Amino acid sequence: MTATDNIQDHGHDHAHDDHGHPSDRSYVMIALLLGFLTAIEIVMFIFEDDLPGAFNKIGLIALMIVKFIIVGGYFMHLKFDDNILTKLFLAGLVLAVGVYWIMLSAFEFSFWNDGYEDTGFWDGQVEFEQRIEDQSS
Amino acid sequence: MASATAVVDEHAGHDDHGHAETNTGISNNKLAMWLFLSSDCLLFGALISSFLLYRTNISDGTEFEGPGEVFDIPFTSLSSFILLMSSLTMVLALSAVNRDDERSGRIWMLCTAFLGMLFIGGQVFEFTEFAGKGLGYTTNTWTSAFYTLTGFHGVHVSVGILMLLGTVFGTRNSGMGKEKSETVELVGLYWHFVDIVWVIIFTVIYLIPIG
Amino acid sequence: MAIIDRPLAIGAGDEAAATADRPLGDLTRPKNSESWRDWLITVDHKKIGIMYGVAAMFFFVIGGAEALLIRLQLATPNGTLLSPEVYNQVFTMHGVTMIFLVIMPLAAAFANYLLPLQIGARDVAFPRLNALSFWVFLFGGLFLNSSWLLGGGADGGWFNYSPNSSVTFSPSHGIDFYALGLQITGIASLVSAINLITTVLNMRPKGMSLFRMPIFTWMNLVVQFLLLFAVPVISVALFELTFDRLFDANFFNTEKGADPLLWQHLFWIFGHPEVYILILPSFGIISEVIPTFSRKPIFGYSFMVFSGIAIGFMGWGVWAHHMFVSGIGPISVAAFSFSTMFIAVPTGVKILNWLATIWGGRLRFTTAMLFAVGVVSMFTIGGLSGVTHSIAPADTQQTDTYYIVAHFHYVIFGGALLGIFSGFYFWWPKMFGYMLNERIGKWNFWLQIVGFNVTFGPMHILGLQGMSRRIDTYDEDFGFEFWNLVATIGSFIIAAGIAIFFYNVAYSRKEWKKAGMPNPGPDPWDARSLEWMTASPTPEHNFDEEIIVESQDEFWHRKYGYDENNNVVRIATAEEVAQDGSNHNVHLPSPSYFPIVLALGLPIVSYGLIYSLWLCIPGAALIIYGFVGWIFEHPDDPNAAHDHHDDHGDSDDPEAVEAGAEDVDVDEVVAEAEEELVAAGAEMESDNG
Ligand code: HEM
Ligand SMILES: [Cu+2]
Repeated sequence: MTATDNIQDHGHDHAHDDHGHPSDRSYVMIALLLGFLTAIEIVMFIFEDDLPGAFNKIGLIALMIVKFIIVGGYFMHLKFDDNILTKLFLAGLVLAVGVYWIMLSAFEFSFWNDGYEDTGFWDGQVEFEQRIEDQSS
Repeated sequence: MASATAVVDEHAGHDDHGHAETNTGISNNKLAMWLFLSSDCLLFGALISSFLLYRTNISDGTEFEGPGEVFDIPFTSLSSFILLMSSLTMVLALSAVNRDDERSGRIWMLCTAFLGMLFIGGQVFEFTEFAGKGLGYTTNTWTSAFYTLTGFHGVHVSVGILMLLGTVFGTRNSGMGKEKSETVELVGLYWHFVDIVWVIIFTVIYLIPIG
Repeated sequence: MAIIDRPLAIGAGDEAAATADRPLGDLTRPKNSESWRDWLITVDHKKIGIMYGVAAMFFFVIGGAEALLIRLQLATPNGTLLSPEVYNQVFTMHGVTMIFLVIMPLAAAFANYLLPLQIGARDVAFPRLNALSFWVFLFGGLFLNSSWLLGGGADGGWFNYSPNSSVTFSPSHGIDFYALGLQITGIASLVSAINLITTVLNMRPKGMSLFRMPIFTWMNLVVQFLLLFAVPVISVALFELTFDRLFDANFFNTEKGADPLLWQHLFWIFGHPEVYILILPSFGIISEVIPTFSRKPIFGYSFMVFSGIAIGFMGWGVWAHHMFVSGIGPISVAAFSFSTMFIAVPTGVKILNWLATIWGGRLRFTTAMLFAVGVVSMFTIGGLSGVTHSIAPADTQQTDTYYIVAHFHYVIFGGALLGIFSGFYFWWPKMFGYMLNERIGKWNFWLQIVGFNVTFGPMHILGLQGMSRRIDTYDEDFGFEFWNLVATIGSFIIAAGIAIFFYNVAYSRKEWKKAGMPNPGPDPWDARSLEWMTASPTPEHNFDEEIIVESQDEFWHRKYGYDENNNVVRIATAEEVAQDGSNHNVHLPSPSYFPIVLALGLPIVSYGLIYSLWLCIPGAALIIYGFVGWIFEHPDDPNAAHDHHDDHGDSDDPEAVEAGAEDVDVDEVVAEAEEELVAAGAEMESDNG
């Protein structure tokens, strides 16, 4: 919703025409960069066992986000188009990440550990559950 | 007219393919496309989280010991790379069309479609490999979630291929010059979106180690 | 042309000229005519709005009959009218019908009819997609209800919790119909969400900034955003359910270790925004009605807007309050309990604003106003019981009892439906050119509101006494007899009220004609927003010329000014200000066969998925046919375009008003209809050049 708040009337003029566009050459450079990032990802995967687990995951996710931003910003022109498009898209994206993240947390799923393993994600949970059990028996 | 943003400098406002001005300055088509893509985030989000929920849930009594065993990372990396490069050919197509260079525009779009088909071919190959290892759609929660997620993505890619081919062949008579810039741009937006969804799937499903 | 049809605008002439008049050979571009066939091919947002309304009222009668069956069964202990199996189907289909096929489409009816008018536009951004939405919804609804004839309806409650919804526990096809039917209506909602958002953001005339839009438009904008984001969530859940049931997938198969809570989460992530999708349109309606009949501007316009946005926003963070007893763990329960208590705040703001609008106003208690006041009071009761179950320990007692049934009927019937009736009485003259009879209307209102309280009030008590929801009967000595009987009597009072509404429609129409009464004029209520600034019933082209907007409540400000003592004085009559609809030279988007053709394919494919995959082939063929035809068809009849080409001249900004012409994004349609996978060729791009 909030994304729409500040749409003003742009009126009838071409307010956004004054941006430059990347040349074909820079598109190729961007693609090379993307390829390079993918290569890093694969290297990280190969040496997975030699890197600390968290480092690996954080690194891979960071690379993923960078790739996402590059494709969205340059190939999908978000960087050059009206801001409102970015906001609209982010609205969906952030909402998706938010609600599904909360949902998975409610399953006590943790991305950083094995899927289902009980992570005891709040201190005293086990104790609490025990107490409930005691009371009901 | 070519969308206000696609035609950058020349002709602003008075090209003869009259286009109703909009309040946001963005054409209706383009705004609608972005709204759709925004909505699609929640679609893929739900599929990805269903998968994540079940990613270690493979209790089915078969030999299968987890995805690590079946994933062929070098192969999938290659097909991910192919899809990534198809985004490059797509922008080059748009850029050619914006220059009114119809021929290059068509060639790049065909390239894009071709790379997309390679990707789909790879996916089909992967699915058959998995099936050969006894992993059917109904085998366990992991397989159901995996095939559904990647299958939905595959359907999106296929739709994109149809859009590309449709644009290239549907404009044979009329030409695909600058005035088609917005068509190409929208096909491109959809295509890149499908690509970034794969960027996520590739990392989250294939690369991130479990445990 | 092709993937995108450009709006026809001045100068597009030569491009259009070459377009084949017969895109696929057999379905020629239809022309406007006066026959009933017009309705099948129309792309006019007003006709589509009316069709939404008629279809929804049809489903309302079905859903109402189901409700009466439920109440008859429960009127006395050990009722035998319905078997437990049938009872399950009846209450499930009652809920599904009322939510997805009645309230949502009635809201869509008003949104379609009024949004373009209220912002002063010629039509929606994509008229053909708009027609598509309607037909897809209608066929989806019919498909869903056809399950009654094909082995029984869904029987797992409107939320069809897994694993109860698996083939093991529900072997009939009812739940398949539910899953596929809601998938189809979901496509309709998504397409129209994209369409209406684009319309509101892009097609306002000069001066109509977002913060000059009427509250009704605002609330609907919020609703469309909620739909945009909520529909895909339920789509995925329904896909998973469908795949589980039809193709033996394991999303909810507990035998293979699936977690049934996945369904509950996905359902309620959609489900809670959904309840705001139901209520916000009604909030919008009464925010138009109350100021008009209080003769005051809405109190705290920006509070109204922002509280609506806040509700839409917070609605995403409370879903697990439906799952307090499902074992989601203490942290989740605490967090969601907390967030739920907070969501009542923006709702309260709205209620206070309505009260403040009424306060000190010169009130006119027309039927529309009565219904609006009914909403404010009844919704408050429902909202308060909602707050009582936001408190998790209390909810543990209340959940799955009739107390919940009381809550959601107070908000949905007392909030959403009464608001829609208020809208009927308010906008009827605008839509149909005659007024509903006020005297009969008052009967309608009083019977409805009394019946409503007699039916659902006692359910609070029954719930607290411990009567379960979804139970097909109860024993004598539970102490449930009295209030159940009262509730059943109440439900028939409601039915009488609704019957009187239908009678009123027929009676008023006849009387109006017989008495040769004058047209109610553009502005029978002395109202405030732009839809009243054109003739009644609204002419096909909406406005003769573009309205340049200078303030909120533009129409009102054209009628009233201030004298030297700062008193409000009338400066013009409505007739002087309003346009008379006499400009017949406006070029309108041409009707099209393809939306209905394309939509018809969806239920056929769905039957195919259930009964025999072979049937999918003709269904898919129809979809592809509709699709290709759609693409080949120029959005505007080129001949018509040429005829009128020169007539644009008389409005100040022809381009802005002409923008009604239509555009189509192929992949919107396709991607959402993925299950039918439009096969090759569908994308063939035509060309008009
Ligand atoms: C003041 C705001 C509201 C609050 C705090 C609230 C809270 C709740 C809670 C906590 C429940 C779950 C009760 C349970 O199952 O144990 C519930 C159920 C429900 N609410 Fe509300 N609610 C509010 C407004 C609304 C509105 C506006 C609507 C619809 C227009 C609505 C429709 C429903 C429905 C349909 C259910 C029952 C769902 C089911 O189990 O079938 N509520 N509400
Ligand atoms: Cu809720």
